[in-house]
Amino acid sequence: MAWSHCRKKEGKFEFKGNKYNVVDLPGTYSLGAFSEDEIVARDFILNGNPDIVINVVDATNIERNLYLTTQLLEMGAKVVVALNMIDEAEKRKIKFDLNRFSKELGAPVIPTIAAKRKGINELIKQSVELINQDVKPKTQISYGEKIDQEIKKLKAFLSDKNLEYPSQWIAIKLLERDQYIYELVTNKIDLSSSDEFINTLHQLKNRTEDYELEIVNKRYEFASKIVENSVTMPEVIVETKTDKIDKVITNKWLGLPIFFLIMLLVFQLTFTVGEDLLGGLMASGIEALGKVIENYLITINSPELLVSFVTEGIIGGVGAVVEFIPLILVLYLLMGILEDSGYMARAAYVMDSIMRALGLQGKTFISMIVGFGCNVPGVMATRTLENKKDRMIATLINPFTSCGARIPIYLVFIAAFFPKRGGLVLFSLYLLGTLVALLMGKIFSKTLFKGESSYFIMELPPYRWPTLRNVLRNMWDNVSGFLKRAGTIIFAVVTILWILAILPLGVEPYSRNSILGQIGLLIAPIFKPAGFGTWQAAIGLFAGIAAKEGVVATLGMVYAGVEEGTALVTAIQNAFTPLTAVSFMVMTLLYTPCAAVIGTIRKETNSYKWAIFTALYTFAIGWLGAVLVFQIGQLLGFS
Amino acid sequence: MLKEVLNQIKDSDYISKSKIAMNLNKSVDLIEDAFSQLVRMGYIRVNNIDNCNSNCSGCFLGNSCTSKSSTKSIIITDKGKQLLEK
Repeated sequence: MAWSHCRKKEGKFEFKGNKYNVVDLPGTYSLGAFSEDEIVARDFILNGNPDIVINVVDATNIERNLYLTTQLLEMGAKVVVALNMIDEAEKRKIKFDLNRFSKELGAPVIPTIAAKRKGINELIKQSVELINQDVKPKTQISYGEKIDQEIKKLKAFLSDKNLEYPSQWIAIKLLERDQYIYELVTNKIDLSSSDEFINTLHQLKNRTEDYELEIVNKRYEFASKIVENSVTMPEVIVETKTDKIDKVITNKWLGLPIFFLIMLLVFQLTFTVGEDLLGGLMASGIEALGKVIENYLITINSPELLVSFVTEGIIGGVGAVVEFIPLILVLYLLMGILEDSGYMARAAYVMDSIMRALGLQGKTFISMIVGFGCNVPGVMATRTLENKKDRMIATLINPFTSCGARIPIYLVFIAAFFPKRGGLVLFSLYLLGTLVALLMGKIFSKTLFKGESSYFIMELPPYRWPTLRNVLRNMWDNVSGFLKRAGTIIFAVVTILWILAILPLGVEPYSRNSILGQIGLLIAPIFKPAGFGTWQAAIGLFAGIAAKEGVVATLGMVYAGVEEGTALVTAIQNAFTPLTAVSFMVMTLLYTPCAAVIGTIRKETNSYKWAIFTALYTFAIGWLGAVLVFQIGQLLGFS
Repeated sequence: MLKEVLNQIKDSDYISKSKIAMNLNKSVDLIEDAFSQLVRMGYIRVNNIDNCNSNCSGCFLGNSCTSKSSTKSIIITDKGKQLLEK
């Protein structure tokens, strides 16, 4: 806050017959030229000619606040310190020796409690008295012998040049490499014509010592010394709750098992609540809606093709995806709680040690965590990696992190074959995706992208109780994104597939003789070694390259077409075995990411080569994984 | 103080400003300031590493992004490393 005697209109008051203007400056902790607030405050104090500057400092956080006070004193401003929230400071057992504090600072210090208007009259009185005194700030900060000498040298050039700022302050700013002040003095004719001055500036600019660091340090030292001499602080700074919790959560040995346990719990709860309690409601709702629409279309004599498109295409395809909303809702509710509490950042930290042990950059796992939502932002998050090697590896392995769009596929197969072990199966799939990503990362770091990983340190947010608003918002963001995709991409995929399923006209829709069936038959043999060499499965995987939800939408369509009225889960039970179901899930987990991810990889790597490489190598890994599961499973006697 | 904070950053696996504050017997707010000063002077660099909202604004897939917390990464720059070696 600065008072400008009858010049500004920001606020006025009268004291003992005199009128005063009060200008409230933006709150700031320092007066550099690094933020708009700082510049506004600094310019007003230097150019606005305030008669006095009232520096309102927080008594509960005095050392931090005194940094600004030291800068005000450097400027040569007449300062009165309002030691605010003194009652809070007393509560926290922070005691001030006000006389000594004021003496060491070289400025009057008035304790205030602004919220209760206590101390304000005294503050006004002292400030007005100081206005009328012709005093200079008593305190001069020493920045060390070398810098003090430099200041002296610069001041010799600057004095008597009629500059708009105090020469001591300009000298300090020049040593701090303040560009604005540098330009100001070099544009001053008197100074720019002095070769000696220009040489001195040149030398300062090219010196290797960082005077700025020293000056900033000395300001902190100055503030610290005043606090040490005149403020009694409570003895111990207590370890925060976050630090205490982190001792367990991020423990070298416990961190990883805790992470796995939490994730397993999340997936198990997702099934218990999302499927067992809510799942049936949604499925029944969609089925009933489908019937109502179908009956209505028949009643109004709609063309057979339209009825087929709506019931088999939209209800069968898009409906099969939408059916899983309760599970998605519960999963993201739980993930939102973990996220908002600050735990997910710890998960990244815990994984960081594993990543480092594998020679990978720890930050890679953060892009993987983002990828668990969607691989598009997951790939984009790799931008924050410092070197190209780390970035390329993180980009290429991100598609293995199981994105939200793949969840409906797992859910259909889990509901069909492993309803009692849903959480465990889902957890295992996420774990497998992560392990394959790490393994491929290790292989890439030893082959395609050799070199050292860059080093970084994470700053973890403090733990806090999740807020309902944030958690619900996170959940809604994800569910609405899911719905949006169902209404756009999935709808488009379903429409194209439906057209292919009924052409050429005259063939039985959804039969092997349709174009869709023919494409499926062409691809299907590739998947025979993996145990699911049917044209329906093949066409489902093919559609999944457009969007992963397309797999379930396609299966919903093609099986609904074959066995009208049969629930998708029952159709899957008839078409797959538990072993081929696992093999199919492994394939969908690992194979080629969707078109949007491939496009993002092309954009991020600026190369078609890496986009095509990712599409092909992930397909090969997915296929290999599925084949291994099926073949080994058969050898072990599973069916 | 700034070099001491930088040393603390160097010696940490992860940053806990409260832990640094405790080690240096300073307030957490003061350590916050020290971080800002170190960033401003180019001794460390801070990145928001998982704020995917900023990465995918305008992307309709962006809603599926799970991670919105404010995890940051701190990188000691070459200038910072040189200061630590002195």
